[in-house]
Parts: sequence; structure tokens; C-alpha cells
Amino acid sequence: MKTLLIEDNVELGDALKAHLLRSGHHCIWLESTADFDKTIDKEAFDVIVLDLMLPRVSGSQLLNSMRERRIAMPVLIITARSEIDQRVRHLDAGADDYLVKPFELEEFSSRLNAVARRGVGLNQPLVRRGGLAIDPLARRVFIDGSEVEYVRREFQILLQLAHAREQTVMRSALVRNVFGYENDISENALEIYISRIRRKFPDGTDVAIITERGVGYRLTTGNDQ
Amino acid sequence: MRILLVSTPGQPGEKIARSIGRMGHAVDWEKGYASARDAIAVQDYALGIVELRDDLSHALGLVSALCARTPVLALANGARTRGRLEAFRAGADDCVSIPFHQDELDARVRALIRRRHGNAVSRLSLGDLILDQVGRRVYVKGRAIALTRREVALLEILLGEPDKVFPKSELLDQLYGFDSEAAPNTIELYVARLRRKLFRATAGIRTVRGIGYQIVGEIDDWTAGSRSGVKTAP
Repeated sequence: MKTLLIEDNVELGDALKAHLLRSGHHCIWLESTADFDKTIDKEAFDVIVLDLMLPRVSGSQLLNSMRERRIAMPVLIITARSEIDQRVRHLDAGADDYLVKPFELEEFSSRLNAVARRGVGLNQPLVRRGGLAIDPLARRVFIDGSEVEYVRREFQILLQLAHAREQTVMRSALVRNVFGYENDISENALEIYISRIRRKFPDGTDVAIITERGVGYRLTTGNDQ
Repeated sequence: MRILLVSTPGQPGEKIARSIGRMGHAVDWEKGYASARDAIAVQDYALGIVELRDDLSHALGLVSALCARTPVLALANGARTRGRLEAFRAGADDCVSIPFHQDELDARVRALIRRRHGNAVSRLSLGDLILDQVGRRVYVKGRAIALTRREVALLEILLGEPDKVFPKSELLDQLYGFDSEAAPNTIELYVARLRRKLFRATAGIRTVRGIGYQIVGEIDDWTAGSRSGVKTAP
């Protein structure tokens, strides 16, 4: 997920950017609105995080001009201004969410992911299979309600299996889709990833990966889907 | 549009239902999670608003079931961050803590509803016809047109997806909740009135025989005859 962060407070900007990078996201941080146009011309972003009180052109002005120019990227406002009329005004001016400072990083992430998820053209709802929920954009996995951390390739394999619902995915297809053609990766490596994914499943869950010998793998999640 | 509200009897449900009604939307207020599940099995909603109560696992289960098909705004009990995080984790699109300010909730409802069709602002437009979803007003060539709440609501549904042909039954479904007894010809009545009031607009509502209605950017001559109330042979 690509985030454009516009925040003039250096400490906060630094912390948010570091947090986003740690979560595996791409983030560009601007300390003012001056380079906004140049930045979005060069790159597409999934979501914009916008502070309101910025030097020269304020966050409110930028939001208005964006929406007037039909730039429809989702916007999450972060601000110290907690008044109700400010919240209402900015939400009605085209902000998708409004979060008052100070906030907890976890809530920031949750709102950011939700805002990005419902953004233009993305429309990637959580992928749900029984007790398994995958947020494709935020790259987060929840099993029976608790978060499980998977590294990039483990995540991609799990997502592939989830997309296939309860169908078996061929080993060769998994290798190709996850590692690409150019990568000289053996199917043994795939087995190692699968066993790592399985090890991280919480005890007692109905979510499981079944090995179809000589063919591939399929995901089962019990019966409540 | 039709909105599902899942909340115990009393407050804040009453306040929310009233406010959404004032916005011109239809509300199905389900007081229990089981009946809410029955409702989503048979009806599509533009938005779900779910109060998270003591029975948290059931509430979160409902949020998960609902968010696969419609945006969900969760109402967390108390100001603690944890309650809100649980809602997001279950798939909610937005979450506010109880107590909340109704004006803010309304603004969040508008933000969620407009995004459903990829709109970033609370304004729908087609040609010289504009519907301001905040003020609930309609303008043709910059001039305000006097419409009733229901007429605005019907126009909002049509403008949400220009060119889409809406069966009458779908329009009826989106305009009225389960408790309301509206006859199918109510829609014909509203469409006729809307056409009369919007006759100066380049956009117009077209009848698609045997199916329903669609709003188009440029209305053609024949339909133009019928929209001014004059009966013309095809």
C-alpha cells in the first residue's frame, strides 16, 4: 500500500513514516503542501494522510482543491482540532475519515487501512474464509480473531490459497505466482514456506492447509463459510 | 437509500434512526443480531450501522458477515481504543465511540455512502443536474428546485449509478423499510413528479419498458414528451 503523508510536525511525521515502513507499506512524506502536485503526478497513491494546520496552503485548502480537481484519492485527516464542526466540515468536504491527535498508532493503522480499502477502484474487501480473514492491502492476517504475522511470501501463498477457496492449487502455479518465472526456486522451497505457514496457525483453529500429494495444496476452514 | 441499523431499543438507536430518516433514507432497525442476520439475507443495504454491545463476539460476527457486502459503521461502547480496534479488525469501515455527536455520525454516514460508488464528494451530478447530498438540495442549471425528501431520495438512488436500469421493485426496496407499506405504483408517481420538476435539465429519467427506470445524461425527444407530462405516441 502506498501512502502519501503530509505533516509538518517532524517528530510525528517521522514516527508515522517509520511505523508505515515497519508495516511493510510504501510511504512518501511531505512537510508541506508545496510539492503535492509534483508528487502525485509522479506516483499513484492508495491513500493520503493529511494534517490540517500546515504552512501556507493548509490541509483544508488542499482537500478542497483536490476534490474540485476531481482527484478522488481517499483522504484521512489527522489533526489536533477536535471540534465537531471541524469534523463535519472536513468529512463533508471530501475527507474519508478524521482522526484527532493524539492517537494510538494502532488506531491510525486501522483507519488508514479501512480508508484505503474503500478507495477508488481498489475496493478490496477482506478475504474471508471461515475463521481466516486476510486484508490484502494492509497485508494483515487474522485467524479466529487474532492477528498472525506472516512474512511477504508466506502471505502471498496464503492469499493465493484463500482466493482459490477450497480448491486445490497446483504446486507449479503457486511457485510461479509467488516467486515469478525468473526465480530459480525449487518446489522444496514451497514446502518449507507451507510448513512455516502451518506452524503459525493458532492451536485449535479449523483453518488448515491440506497437502494433495503430487498435485498441490488447498485451504480448509471448517464449515462456517 | 436503505440503511440497516442494529441496536438495542432506546438510545442511541432512536436518535440515529430519526436522523437517517431526516436525510431521506429508509431505515430497518433491527434490535437483535439474529433478526439482523435475517434482514441481510434478504435485503441489500447501502450501509450497516452496528452497535457493539456486551455480547461482543456476536456483534463482531455480524460486522464480519455484513462488511463483505456493504460498508459498516460500528458504534463502540465507551471511549477506549480497544473497542474500536476490535471493530476494525472484524472488517468495519469506520467506528465511533458511544457517546458521539449526531452531526459527526451523519457526516460519517455520508462519507461511507458516497464511497460505495467511488465518489469522493457528497455531490452527484449529471449534465446540468446537481444533487447536494449534504444539504439534500437539487439544482438544475445552478437553480434550486423544490423537491420533497422522497423525491430527492429517489433521484439520489438513480444518480448513484447513471444509465443503470433500476427495476421498480429495487427502487421501492431502497426507498422504503420493511415496516412501510408502499405500493409499486408509488414509484411511478414519484418518477412522474420528478420528470415534471426536472424538465429543464439535460439529464432525465427514461422508462425502460417492462423493466424499470434509468437516469441518462441526455434525454431523447420522445421521452422528453412524456417527461413534460404530455402523452406522445412512440
